[in-house]
Amino acid sequence: MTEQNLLQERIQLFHDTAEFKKTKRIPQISNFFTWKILDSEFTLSEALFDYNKMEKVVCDFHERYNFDAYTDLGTRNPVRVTNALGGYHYVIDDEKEVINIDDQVYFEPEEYPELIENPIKFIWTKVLPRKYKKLREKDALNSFKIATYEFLAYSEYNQRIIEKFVKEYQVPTLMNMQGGVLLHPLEMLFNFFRGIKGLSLDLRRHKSQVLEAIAVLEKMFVEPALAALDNPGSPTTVFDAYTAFLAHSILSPKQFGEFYWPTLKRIIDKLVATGKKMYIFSENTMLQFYEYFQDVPKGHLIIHVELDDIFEARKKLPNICFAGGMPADLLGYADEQTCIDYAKKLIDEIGRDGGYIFSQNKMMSFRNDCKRENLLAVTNFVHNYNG
Amino acid sequence: MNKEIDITTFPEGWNEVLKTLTFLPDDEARNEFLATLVLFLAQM
Amino acid sequence: MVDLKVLTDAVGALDEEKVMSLLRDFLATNPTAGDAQQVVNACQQGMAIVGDLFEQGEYFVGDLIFAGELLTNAIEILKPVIGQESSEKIGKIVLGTVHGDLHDIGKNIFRSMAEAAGFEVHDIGIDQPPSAFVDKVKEVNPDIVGMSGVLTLALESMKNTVDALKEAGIRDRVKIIIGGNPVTKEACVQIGADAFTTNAAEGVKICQRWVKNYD
Repeated sequence: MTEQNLLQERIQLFHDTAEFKKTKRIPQISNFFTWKILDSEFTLSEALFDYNKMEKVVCDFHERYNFDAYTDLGTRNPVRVTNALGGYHYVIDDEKEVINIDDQVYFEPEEYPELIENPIKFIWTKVLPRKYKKLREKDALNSFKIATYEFLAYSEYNQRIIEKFVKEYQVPTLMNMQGGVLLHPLEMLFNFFRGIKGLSLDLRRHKSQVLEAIAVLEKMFVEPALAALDNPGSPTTVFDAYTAFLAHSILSPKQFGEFYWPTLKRIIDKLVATGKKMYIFSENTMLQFYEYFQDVPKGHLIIHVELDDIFEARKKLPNICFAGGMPADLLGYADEQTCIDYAKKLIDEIGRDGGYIFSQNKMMSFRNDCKRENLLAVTNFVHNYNG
Repeated sequence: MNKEIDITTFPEGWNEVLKTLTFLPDDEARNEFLATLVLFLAQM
Repeated sequence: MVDLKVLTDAVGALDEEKVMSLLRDFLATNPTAGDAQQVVNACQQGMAIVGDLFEQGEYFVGDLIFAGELLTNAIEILKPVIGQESSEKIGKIVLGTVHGDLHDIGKNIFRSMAEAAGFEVHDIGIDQPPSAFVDKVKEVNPDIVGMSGVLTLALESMKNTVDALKEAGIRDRVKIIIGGNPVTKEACVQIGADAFTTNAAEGVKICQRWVKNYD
């Protein structure tokens, strides 16, 4: 088989898997984030602040482990851009090898009407100045110019690395931070505007305003993204859309039905109508909401589960393609054979008839999340295992 | 000398920033770019 | 005197408006410290209902956060009348999020519920090194040490903290409970803790069992 075909072979493999067709091997997605940097010759800061170093990190990582697709190619934490505006909410500690992010709370409940009236104006006049110190200082215009240049440099890196992986490594694009990310409005409120505690309180104290905000944000950001699904898919990407579940983690099933499901159902309906597929990284657990997903037709959703028991997930939702399953516990603390045995168990039990993509359960970020020798053994095993 | 415009005002500050996006051909492209950048900054 | 059962039920139902209204009416009657203490107890019983409903899957994390806030506000309103902390505490807990981890929601939920259950909680905050735990344990002499963490690296920090307590010769004076997403039975054994939980309500129950056994 020529190299020309490897890209298409990978894309076909992902699609066949998502459509529950039996395949020659199980496709593998890398869910590695900053661990890639710790596995390299650079420190967190060195790679995060220098795109050339980050390029070396992600390329070496691919050449070492040979995954079929990546949830991150070094673009997850654009610290050069945010720092340029004085937003120091990414806290990097090279000694502890940790990157933390502060809880993002940028408006008070009394301000919901302003957000609802004009989201972009609200973000510009209220959210950004609170988040980015330099916008409140002298020479703000100059700082913004610098941030713009940093954004262009970041975009250039993003473009370059995606193209390199497609052309040189024949690896299709799974997640592009600058396109194809469909965020539920509740996720926007949860992650970027009100924070965990804020939103938890808002759901009860300001329910109608939360629902109004969801409607406005859906119209502004989700609808155009859904309209784009009418266009033909890209020939070099794995799936057509990508999203993440985080806000769901504070909701009861009843609240999920009220705040989350209506928008999500519209997204899923559009995917089904256009014959498209969406990859969802689900932080925490989602099986407490499984009843909502029972009627989703096969072949449109791929859910990457973090803490759900993936064997249980398969039983409860035989119509959903799942990704994940390989525990950081084992990759980080067990020996090679134990890791291989577990990988084999995953494939044998839930991968035989399609519907399973091999990946790590968590977003792999810290040194002890994985040992190099374990990862080498497992990726090699999964690549060659024909079941 | 003009007093420095507070760029976080709308539309005055927004328009000041648009003027700096000289690498783009017209106002439509500049507005689109700035809206994209603003959303990016809000989400990152 | 306010109808204590109605108050308990209102807390359990997370009906903030009703709870606040009942408490304001109560304050207007110029109550005694003893009456106020009964009202506090009624609120705490309401929190126990919240814990039960959480275990049954009716309430979820967002509701627990709300409940914690509700209880804090209720106690705040009653503070002028409660006066001295006269109620007997059933036990003392030193609580913190371990080194390298900034998450505090789970810890805060546990704290609210533990206080509602009658524990005296010393919350040392987030990203706390082992030495901070050791110092606090020496200072307040608790029955229980609770360590919280969400990141996978928290497990290592938890182990380091237990080791530090051992080195200081005070490990055996306390029961240790670990909480958060990454904690498992295996991790608990590795770390050297006495119990683990991913569920604040369950964690409080474990702590209650421990202090009962001390008698």
